[in-house]
Amino acid sequence: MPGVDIHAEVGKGAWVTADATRLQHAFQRARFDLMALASRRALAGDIGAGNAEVKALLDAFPQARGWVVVNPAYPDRSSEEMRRYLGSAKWLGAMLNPVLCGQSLMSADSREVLNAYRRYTKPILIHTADEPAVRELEETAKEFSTLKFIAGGGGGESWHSCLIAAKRTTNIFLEPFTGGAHRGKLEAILELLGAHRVLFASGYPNLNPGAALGMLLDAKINDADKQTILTTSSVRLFGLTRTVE
Amino acid sequence: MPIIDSYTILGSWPQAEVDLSVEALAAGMQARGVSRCLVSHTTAVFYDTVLGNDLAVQLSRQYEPLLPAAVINPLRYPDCLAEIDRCLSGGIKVFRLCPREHAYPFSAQVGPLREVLRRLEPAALLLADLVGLPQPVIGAEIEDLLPGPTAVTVDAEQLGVAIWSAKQGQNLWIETSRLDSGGAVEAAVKHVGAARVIFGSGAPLRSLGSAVMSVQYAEMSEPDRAAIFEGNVLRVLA
Repeated sequence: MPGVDIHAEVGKGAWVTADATRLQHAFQRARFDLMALASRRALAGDIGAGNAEVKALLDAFPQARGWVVVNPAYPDRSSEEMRRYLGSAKWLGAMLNPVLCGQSLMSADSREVLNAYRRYTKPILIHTADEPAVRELEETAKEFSTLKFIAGGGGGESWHSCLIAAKRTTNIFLEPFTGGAHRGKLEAILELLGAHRVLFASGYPNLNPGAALGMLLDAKINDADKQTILTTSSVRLFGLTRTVE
Repeated sequence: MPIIDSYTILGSWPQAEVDLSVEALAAGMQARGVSRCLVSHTTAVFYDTVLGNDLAVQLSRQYEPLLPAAVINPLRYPDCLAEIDRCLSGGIKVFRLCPREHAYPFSAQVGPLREVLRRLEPAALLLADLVGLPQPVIGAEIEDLLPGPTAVTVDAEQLGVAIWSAKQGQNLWIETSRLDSGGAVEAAVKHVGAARVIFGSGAPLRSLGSAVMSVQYAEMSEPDRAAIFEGNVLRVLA
């Protein structure tokens, strides 16, 4: 079953370094059509060098797409990074991890980055790990109603709250695969939200791609919905070419 | 490839409405080719070990592929020693410690734990889920006290401490259910040896397929994978 992995990372993980060779190996083994990468170095603070690492991979690897990591602690540099990359279709949007930035999504600096991001009309992936993060995401999505938000990790243990938030707020999409392999989670999400607002991610190297794929394959949902999650939802959200379907 | 799942739990989950029935577990086992499960009961973890362990035994009588893993709480000293004796005399071979739920460190500093481990010497296999415990997740001196194979559940961030502890002797093993990080299962195999790594899932609370595919995706030899999936647990239960 081919698919689009909307979130893998390049860089040093806890037990494996996801360099170009390893990423390509993981990509081929999982038989993905596209893999969207963010830089772990950028997520750790060095957004300039980290995003440039991803740019180099995008140039070398036609099936890769990129996330521009932004950091509200550096609003001006974040704006520069967005300007530098987001004009290209190879970059799917921006990624923001409030926990790693040490900044609430509600902070003035986060608001400044989001305001600057409005002009790009691309989705933004927000790492959403727990209940407070879900509440902040919902409030932010309501305020920035023209932006499309992806809840990366889908709320973690608070996945049900995140699902309710997505139901209430139509510009929130869910990526629940990197937030824990809870049995029954996908079934509940599809029942309330539908497959078209659910996106697949491997989370490599934080996660082994088998963990996310196994969770999807195990879910008691029909094959058409699985294919929608793996491919069609991302194709529609990011305007990808139909060849990946 | 036959699979024995060393970490399953049945009963009622207090934090969310989840189907932790035998039927839910059996459906997952069938779909994934799991032949046997070591099972504990939520009642033993969250309420009363005696009642919960009896429920696990009852369930294993109803459904043959289940093998009870009796839960012991060292903080219920000295009653926990009587529960160990009762379970051993009832033929139970596998025991589970729950340091996170019962709120104690997995360390020899806990006096009752030292005595519990001594009393568990006849057990074939001990299990302990350490995910969520503060670091260092395993006390430096614990390996000396382990009476036999003791498989700990750790996540990728805790794995380094578990590997160090495992290197201090032969009795600390590693269970795979939370090693879903890229390269984590491979690291356990490389540093501890495939003969001391066993498969677990946390099903039916967690996705059995996700756990199985994490190990299937890990890069290792097929004999090592077979040992993790089945051989190692078979060896200690024989």
